[in-house]
Amino acid sequence: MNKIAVFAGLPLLMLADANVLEATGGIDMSGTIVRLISFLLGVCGATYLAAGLWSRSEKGSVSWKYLSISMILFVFWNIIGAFGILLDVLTVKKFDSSIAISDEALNIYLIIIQILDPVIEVVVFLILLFGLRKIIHAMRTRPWTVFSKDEDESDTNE
Amino acid sequence: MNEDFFVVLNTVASMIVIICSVLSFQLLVEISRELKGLKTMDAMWKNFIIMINLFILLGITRAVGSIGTIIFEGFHPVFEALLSVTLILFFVFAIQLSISIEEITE
Repeated sequence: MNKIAVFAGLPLLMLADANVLEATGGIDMSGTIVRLISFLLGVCGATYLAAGLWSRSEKGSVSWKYLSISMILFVFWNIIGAFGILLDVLTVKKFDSSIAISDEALNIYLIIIQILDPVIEVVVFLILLFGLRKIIHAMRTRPWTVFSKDEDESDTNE
Repeated sequence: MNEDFFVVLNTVASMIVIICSVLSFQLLVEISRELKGLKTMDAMWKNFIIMINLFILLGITRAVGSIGTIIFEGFHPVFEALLSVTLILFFVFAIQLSISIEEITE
């Protein structure tokens, strides 16, 4: 029974050791890398989607353009998030090792990021809300215009 | 700059994001109701609804996280982990949605 308990507890012990080794300099490096990778993946996905929605809006309803703009702003939000992580790491590492960065510059960057982060987030969600309203309006009033290629034809006929 | 300024800014931004997210979710429910009328709901709309749901979840997690961190600092890693998982899922469904949009556009 004791052996089973030791085996069961082994992974936990290993995890604890890994945390002690990795949490050097007051930074949880594994957590930081996961956050950084997730922000970069967010940048890639949102850029690809923004491009797809933009090309869709050129052939169908203009309401897709609002979602595309929302995604472009979401890309900036992710870039700011990734940049914020890097600045956090730099701030902690500055005290440990001799990295030559002036305090003023670091503070200014941090303040800019702290202001831009919530502002862009609000704009992203406001534009998303507006875009969804446009799509539902188009679906109710003229459903064929959501994806239709007839819109261009009707415009040329008019 | 004053620390209180950032607390107020984050709180107000989080409130607006939560309100926008709830309203967006309501609109998404209406869109899915409209789509129920159709016999076949194609992959593009399914991916669209999942992707927007994840996006809304992302906004709510971020907003609740920033308010929760003000109340109790210990929440911060939990919300960061949730945000990372949601972002990775968002990436997957964003790519799927883009592919299905491209198929329709072609």
